[in-house]
Amino acid sequence: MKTIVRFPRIARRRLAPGVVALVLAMPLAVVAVSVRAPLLRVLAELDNGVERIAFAGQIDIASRIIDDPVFNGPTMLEMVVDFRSVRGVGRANGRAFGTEAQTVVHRPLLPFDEFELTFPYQPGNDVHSARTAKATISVAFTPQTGLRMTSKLDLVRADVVN
Amino acid sequence: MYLAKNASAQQIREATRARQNRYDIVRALSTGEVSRRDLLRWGLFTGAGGLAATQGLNPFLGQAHAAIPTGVPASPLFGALPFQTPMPRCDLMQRSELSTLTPAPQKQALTSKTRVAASDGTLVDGPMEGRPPGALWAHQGWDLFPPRVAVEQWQKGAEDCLDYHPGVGSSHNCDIDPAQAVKPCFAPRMPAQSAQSLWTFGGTVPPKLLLGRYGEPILFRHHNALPGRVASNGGFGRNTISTHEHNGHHGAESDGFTGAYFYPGQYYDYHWPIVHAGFRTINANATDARCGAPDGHGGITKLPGDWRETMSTHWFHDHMFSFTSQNVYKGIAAMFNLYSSLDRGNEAINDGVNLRLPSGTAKDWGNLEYDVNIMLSDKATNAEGQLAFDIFNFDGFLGDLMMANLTYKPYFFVERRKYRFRFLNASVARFFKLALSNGAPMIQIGNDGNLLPRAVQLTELDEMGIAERYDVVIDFSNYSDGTRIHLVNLAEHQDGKLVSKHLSIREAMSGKSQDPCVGRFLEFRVRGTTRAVDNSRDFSRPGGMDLIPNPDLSKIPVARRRTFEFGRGANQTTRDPISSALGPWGVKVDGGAMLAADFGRVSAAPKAGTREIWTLVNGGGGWDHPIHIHFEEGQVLARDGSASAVPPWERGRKDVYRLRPGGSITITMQFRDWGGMFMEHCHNTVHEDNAMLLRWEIDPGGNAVLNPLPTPIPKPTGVEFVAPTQRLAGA
Repeated sequence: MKTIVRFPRIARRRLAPGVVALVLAMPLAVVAVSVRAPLLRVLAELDNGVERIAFAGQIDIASRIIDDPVFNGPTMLEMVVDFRSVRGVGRANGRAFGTEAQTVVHRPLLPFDEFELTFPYQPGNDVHSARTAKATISVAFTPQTGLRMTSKLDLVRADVVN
Repeated sequence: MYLAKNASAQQIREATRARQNRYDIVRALSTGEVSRRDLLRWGLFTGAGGLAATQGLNPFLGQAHAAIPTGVPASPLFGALPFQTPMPRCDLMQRSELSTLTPAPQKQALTSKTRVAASDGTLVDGPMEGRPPGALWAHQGWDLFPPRVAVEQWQKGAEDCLDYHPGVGSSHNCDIDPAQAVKPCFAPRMPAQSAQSLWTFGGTVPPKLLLGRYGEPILFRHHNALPGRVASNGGFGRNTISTHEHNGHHGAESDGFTGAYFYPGQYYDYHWPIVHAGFRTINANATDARCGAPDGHGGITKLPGDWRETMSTHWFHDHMFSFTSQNVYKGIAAMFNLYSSLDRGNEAINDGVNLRLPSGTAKDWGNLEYDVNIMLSDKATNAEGQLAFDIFNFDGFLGDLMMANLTYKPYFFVERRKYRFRFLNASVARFFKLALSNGAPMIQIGNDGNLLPRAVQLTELDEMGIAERYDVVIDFSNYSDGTRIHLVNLAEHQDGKLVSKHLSIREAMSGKSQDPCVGRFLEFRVRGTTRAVDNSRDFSRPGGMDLIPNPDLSKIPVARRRTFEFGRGANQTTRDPISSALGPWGVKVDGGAMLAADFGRVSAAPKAGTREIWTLVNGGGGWDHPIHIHFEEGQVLARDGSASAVPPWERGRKDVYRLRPGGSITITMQFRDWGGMFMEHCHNTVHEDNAMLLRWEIDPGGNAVLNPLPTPIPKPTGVEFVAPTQRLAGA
């Protein structure tokens, strides 16, 4: 699973250089405001209890770094995480799985942070058969190297989180 | 708000002592004996707002958690445990014949005399109705849309509910017996709230719900039966009120203008015509069945207007100038479901118009069996278990008790089928971010009471700002009998300025957060050995996610663009003792000065019949603001200047716009059908009260030069009118 990091212009933005890291691949260093990485041929193959699904694609993350000079509060990292380019194919019958999910995440900007995000995926348009996948996003930041993100994909079973 | 869980006994003692030391000041401030200007002069408030770092007043001095604002000791639970109390359905407001109202409602305010309470509680002669008198505040559309339904409510201090109408049978209401008296407490083990602590519609809990339908104008007679003495408020709250139907498309006289408040002993007649926007120019002959209402017999009453402006989930709440946060926190808030030919509240009628959302089938419209209103809020209580609030805090008050329908962390029985939940964030400063504990998908169908053009399936909803409403469908059909699933709050606060961190579901449920309102707060208990009958919409069929498209604005030229920046460090340019407020919050219009609120100041005056584009800018990165614009729904055009950055759940119509820290949002809205003075403000109501609010007017004549309306100044003896204190250049 590859991760794309973009830095749109904001009012209070640190022009941190972006680093895109790919799961199972060497990190690809990019110094730019907007970053797109080449496609990654990594398959996350998951068993949702009904069938095995091979996932591929990309998670698109547009991020901003937000300072708080008024209260001198913690610097915030905003990530708009778009899962729409993640696609799955059922191994048994070739069914296509997709998602339209996005999520907006605010976290304090730390030297290292790791967190999970869930998103639904379903066969075709059958939203009533949707299941949940889990992406683990790792973020590393230094003023020198900027942001560095990695991700990996997993499944959420009903009894895993609860 | 909250001390750390590991706060020492000394810290708790200091916090308690500080709270006691401040009590006299709080009381004096809440009753108007001293003003915030006085406290600033005495050095008890800082220039930037907030309580000065004075030993013995600020319980967080010298602590690691100094960034956490008001800090009172944790609310005592009195042995109450999470998920031990059923969540009650909202209590339906009674709808009556208009003839039941005495005196009969009139187009202009009734000025016959009655006894009205002055601030010290003495009774003076004043007008029966608190609505400003005369033609300017007469009900617009009174003859065109005469009221057909009367709803009469008394705003009162807390008392037992002896007449509970949930609108559903007990099996759909956690087996609650509605014949039993409902005590005004947040859990059975918690003390009942006193008449000074909790002020609700009817004085009772559960919170109220009003059902209305398009084409059936409502006369909402609101009696102020609050204590006559302004000091009889339990330390906070103001007994003068103004009720905002959020976000009704009505004339300004029925909008609940912040300066059109009324006194104990008076009533105010609000006329809510419940019309589709654009009724004067679009589908004026009422030929389109999509613009209609249930006729009571399975059919549709066709109505004029734009069917794409149909609204669904509203609420109404107090809007008293400078006291909105305190009064809403005390309970002056209710929900309001609007029914239409599209959103019928009957899932079985299959006429090609009805969207068949989860609801029920027994009645023609307004079935609630599988359509559940949930009012979310956070509260805090003092050692006696009575509601507590810190008026010293200007950043935003946070409670440590998570409530659903004013019940502490309740449970709710669900059958094995789809449900519609209408979530309302009724907090004063807390944002929520909702997910299910097992990460299961939900289908978001509505935002701010408007069904989306296209529903979106999510496992983690977006942040939900104060006053935002998210309508969500959850499918329980695949769970087995006895399964328990929880709603989880992922939004962690450290103070009332903004969400400090979005947590993952696992983090939120770990119990490690210092924010007591993070984590599980509502338990769904699935019951039924077989799947329940479900006639509601199949979202997976082709077009199944398509709901109500946006109005087509492409042929409506943009008359003007404006920019509003919301930030700190506001100045006050006016000194009216009634209409002007002190900051620190304020609004900057089109690059002008950052100004503190004055409801006598006209900051913008769009021409009637036009469309404008407004860009709302967050002036800082250390806070967030959910900005509410009264009157008509807008459409989000861009976030941070980018149309593609608008997430799917914001691509419908909205009335509350979260700016995000350091962010901006560009919207467009129309100004039509009605006129008068309206507002734009932060719905973090603590920010609103201190003083992030402005007044704008629709210039009814569309003239090149605005003739601003006189400002109402309510007094117990009657409303006086004064000239506007200021009109911003270029308004």
